[in-house]
Amino acid sequence: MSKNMTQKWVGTLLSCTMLVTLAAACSSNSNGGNNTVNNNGTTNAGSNAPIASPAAPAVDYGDTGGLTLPLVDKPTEITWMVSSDFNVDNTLVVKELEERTGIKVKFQTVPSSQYKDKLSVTLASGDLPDIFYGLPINDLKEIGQEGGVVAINDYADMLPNFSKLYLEENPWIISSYGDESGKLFSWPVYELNRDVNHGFMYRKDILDANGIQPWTDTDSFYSVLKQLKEIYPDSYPYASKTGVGVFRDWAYGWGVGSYEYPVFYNEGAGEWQLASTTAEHKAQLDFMKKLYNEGLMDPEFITDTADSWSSKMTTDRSFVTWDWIGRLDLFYGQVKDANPSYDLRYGLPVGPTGNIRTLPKVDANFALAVANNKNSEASLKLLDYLTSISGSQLISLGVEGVNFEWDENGKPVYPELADRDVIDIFALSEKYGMWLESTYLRPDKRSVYFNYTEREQEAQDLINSEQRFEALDPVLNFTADEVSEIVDIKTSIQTAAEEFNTKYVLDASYGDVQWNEWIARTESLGVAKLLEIYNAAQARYDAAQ
Amino acid sequence: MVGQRKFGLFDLFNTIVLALVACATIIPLIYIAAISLSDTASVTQGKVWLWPKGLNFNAYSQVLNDIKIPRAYLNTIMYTALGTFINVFMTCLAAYPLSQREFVGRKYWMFLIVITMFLNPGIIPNYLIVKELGMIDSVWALVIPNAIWTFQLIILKSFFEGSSSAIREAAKVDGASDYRILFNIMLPLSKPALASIALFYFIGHWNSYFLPMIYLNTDTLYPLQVVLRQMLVFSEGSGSSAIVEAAALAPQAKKNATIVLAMIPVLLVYPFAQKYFAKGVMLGSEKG
Amino acid sequence: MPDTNIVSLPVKEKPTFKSKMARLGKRIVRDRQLLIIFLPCLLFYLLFRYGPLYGLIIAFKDYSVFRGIVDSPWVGFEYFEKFFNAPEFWQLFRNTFLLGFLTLVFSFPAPILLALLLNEVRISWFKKGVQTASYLPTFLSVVIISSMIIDFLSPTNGIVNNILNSLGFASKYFLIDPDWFRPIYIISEIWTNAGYESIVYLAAIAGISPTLYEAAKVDGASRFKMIFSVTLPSILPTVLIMLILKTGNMITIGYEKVLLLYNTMTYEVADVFSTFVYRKGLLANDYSYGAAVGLFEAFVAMALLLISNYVSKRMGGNGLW
Repeated sequence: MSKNMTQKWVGTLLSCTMLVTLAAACSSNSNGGNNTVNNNGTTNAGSNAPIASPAAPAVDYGDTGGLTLPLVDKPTEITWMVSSDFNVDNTLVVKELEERTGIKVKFQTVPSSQYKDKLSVTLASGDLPDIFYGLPINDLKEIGQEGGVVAINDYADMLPNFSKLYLEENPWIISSYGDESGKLFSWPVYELNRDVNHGFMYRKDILDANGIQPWTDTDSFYSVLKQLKEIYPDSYPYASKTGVGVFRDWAYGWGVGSYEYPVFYNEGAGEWQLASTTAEHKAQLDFMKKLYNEGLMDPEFITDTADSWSSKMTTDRSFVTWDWIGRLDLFYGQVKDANPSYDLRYGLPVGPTGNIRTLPKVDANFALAVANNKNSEASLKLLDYLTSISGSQLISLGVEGVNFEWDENGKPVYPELADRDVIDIFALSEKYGMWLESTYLRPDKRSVYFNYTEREQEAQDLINSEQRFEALDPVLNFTADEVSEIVDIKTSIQTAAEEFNTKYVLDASYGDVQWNEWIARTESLGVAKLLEIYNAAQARYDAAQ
Repeated sequence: MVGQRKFGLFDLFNTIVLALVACATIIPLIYIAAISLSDTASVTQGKVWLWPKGLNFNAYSQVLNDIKIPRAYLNTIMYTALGTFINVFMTCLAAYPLSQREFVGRKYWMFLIVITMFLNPGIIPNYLIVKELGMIDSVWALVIPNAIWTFQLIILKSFFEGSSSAIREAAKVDGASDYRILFNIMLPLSKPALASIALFYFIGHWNSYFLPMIYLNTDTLYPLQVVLRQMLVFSEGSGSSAIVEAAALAPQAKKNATIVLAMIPVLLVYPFAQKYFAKGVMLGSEKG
Repeated sequence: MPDTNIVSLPVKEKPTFKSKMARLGKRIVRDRQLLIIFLPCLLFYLLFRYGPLYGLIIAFKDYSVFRGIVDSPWVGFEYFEKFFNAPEFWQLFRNTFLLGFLTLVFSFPAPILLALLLNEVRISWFKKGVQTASYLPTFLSVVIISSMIIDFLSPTNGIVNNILNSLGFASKYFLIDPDWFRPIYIISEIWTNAGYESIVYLAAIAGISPTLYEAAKVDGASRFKMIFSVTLPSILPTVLIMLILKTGNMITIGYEKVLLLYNTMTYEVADVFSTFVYRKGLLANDYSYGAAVGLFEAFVAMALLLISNYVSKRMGGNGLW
């Protein structure tokens, strides 16, 4: 073999490598010269063009709750990690915030599906963004205790909105979301939730066509399903897509529901108990069993996927279900071409209590935190501004006269988005940087987010008129050790409970004997210890009130 | 094999079985494609099977009109080309010495390499090392840290082992250096092996989604899979927040359109690579 | 007169350290070109495969993301103990092992068979078509595949039951029957991976020298016999390597597919280590626990690999080293 061959190979290799390196360099150059190594948006980004120092506001920005704008004396850049599928660098909100507060916010947008992983690696590599959210609350507390994030209430005197809204009006959040020494590390979110978000729903058009009245309680629920089955013998009137979640979703109607399911707070007894072994739960299971045995409940309720369930609900094979409220309009929108009379409506709760779950008014589970660094004070003030009326309106409404106008109903209208069929918070996010996750600390009720469609409004009224809400369980505060123990026991019990519940309903032979065996089983799995931990935390909670 | 043969019973049996295999693998994809071309009502009602109902290209135009797509396609092509090249090159360099039976320390190298297949310390330590090397947010993070897949290395080494000692000895007698043996003799003779590992690496790069997501921060660098998934605003979280629920609204047709679009280039690659699996490439190398 | 014509054989001394080193040195010099070629690979493994291994100590620490790996406190075998003492441990072990083993047994031959059959095809477009079709499933995500499986197996209107009905059988709810979980899982694994894995065998077959076939033909072998006497033996080294590797990987079952295919009625056979850790992770992020389970799985995998490698060599075949 001649030397030429070798040279040929080497030559080819070299040229390939060169070509490819060129190509790589080209692509990375074209993203705006951001080739420097530490790209996690540290605040030392010296490549900023000098920002004109913020002049005293000649414009009235509304009620800032006592904060003076601008919030900082010199231009400051703050990094905020958010989950978003759009880049929001030059949007209205970012520009407005800079103008009003003097703070340039660099939103580090991470695609929603990978947010958690990205957050872990970012934290692990030591580059805490100035503001971030998404860690489990207990992890955040640990970080706070080690000095990684600031204790918000330590800075209360420079945070008028926080002080008023939380320290004065909702002091319980400290005992629920703070750590043992009363330090709060996560910024709460105020009144994000609607009143009614999930519930039972039914095909009004089918019921009307057959002269059936919608149910008002559990017995009439059963009777409605029975009538439907008689008229449509091949159908399974009730369908479900939540798999084992169905037990948790129905639990509120039987008084044993909780965000800590299968553990719940029994208001009457004043203690935490295991829902899965209560008499009420057995009643719920017996009711489900009856429905299943009589062919009223879809036998595939454990394995149905969202798609197969959608298919059943839109082809008259099922008529009643339980889901998120948006589905009322979503299904209609999807099938109106094929079936214009399709009408899914919200129904009254099922179960002896006749109640649905209460959604908390104040929630700090977002775990929105401020890193402990030289920008901490600026970050805190920024969050306080966003908690003020002025700031929250910017985030949830926009800037009046710039991107929206009021219509005759007092609702905002966005002329630039007139060509879109749906103006929801995603559209607003993409175009204006509004409604970015974790920035909506106090959403304005007039925002499109709270636009109820006719069906949704009907649902709201239905529940609100009779205040059909189960009491909200106290938000307990656990130490790191307690969390660790809880996770071990609770996973085992939850798995076992799911297995038992399903078998009880599906297997005709399951009855009282198996129920008693089940109760014994929970004891061997450690339920006593689990409840002991919960009740100890409850005692601490009560003492702190 | 030389000469024509009659189409016998065996061939009939063979053809039927393979046709079934092809059906089994193609039909689900036709199903996916059919949904991507159908109207929303029929899809929601579950009425679409192998033929689109209410044929329309809305899902495709929605996806293709997004300005991020051409850039993402380009990125993926570049990452895949560069990545596969580096992969094959590095794997060859590793497999050749290991395939020589008398290579000093061979057993030890093999053991040390093989055990890395099982020990996975998770994303965080890997991320930290990539960061230390300054490769975060660049194409290098996608092609260097996984330059060699132990699995492919073992396969290639096993192919090289087939006849390489005899070849090497003969060549050494002729005075050839190992470099020359590797590049001028072994590689041309190992086309099927190289093609197969190249194909595996290609598929790996093309499908990769998680690592680009973790290592890249700038959205103009995102490859196709990442951008496609972003478009679906797809959230599998079961949080009670209404916002999370609203996010899971991606229509089925659009989801499926993204799948089809990601798959089309791959469909074109295999037939191209297939010619390297032609037989008889190691003609006469055994004679000696 | 002393007999000086006798050639004295060298006395076999025990190899001294010095002589061993000398021999090693000679071999290094002899193989210097190979070593240089090998160098990039060595650096790669050192940096990117061994470098991160310090992260494994997470399993022995109470890991906090903020403190980092180095500064988190040591807890020794605490997480391992927790794991071994979990009430579900033995069930998980049995499930993981059985699922992995059965998957290996049934899915291992499939790609080989496919490659052998494809090899016999004369019509080029058919061959290419089937090959391309066969490896397409690897491009579908697990979510989509599971969705389809659940659809096909639906007792009310899934295809499988429709076919059963038309043949006169009653509908069966396969997905909630524990006896059917493993078959469903295994069949879907074969469907997803057989085409992709057959590529290796096809490449191996392509490397078989035609003279071997000619010689067999001269001996009067039929096509069937040729497969057994030429093709199979020639690809045996490849087959063994793949078998050893897959045996090692046997129990590392990912959580995604099982998670999507199992349900409360099949937990007792379907719940494996990875799904167990996943469910725990839903309640609280416990990296250390997950790391401990992962390390345990890694050790079992390595043991399996060593055993299968040894067995293969003992039986006269080749091994990984």
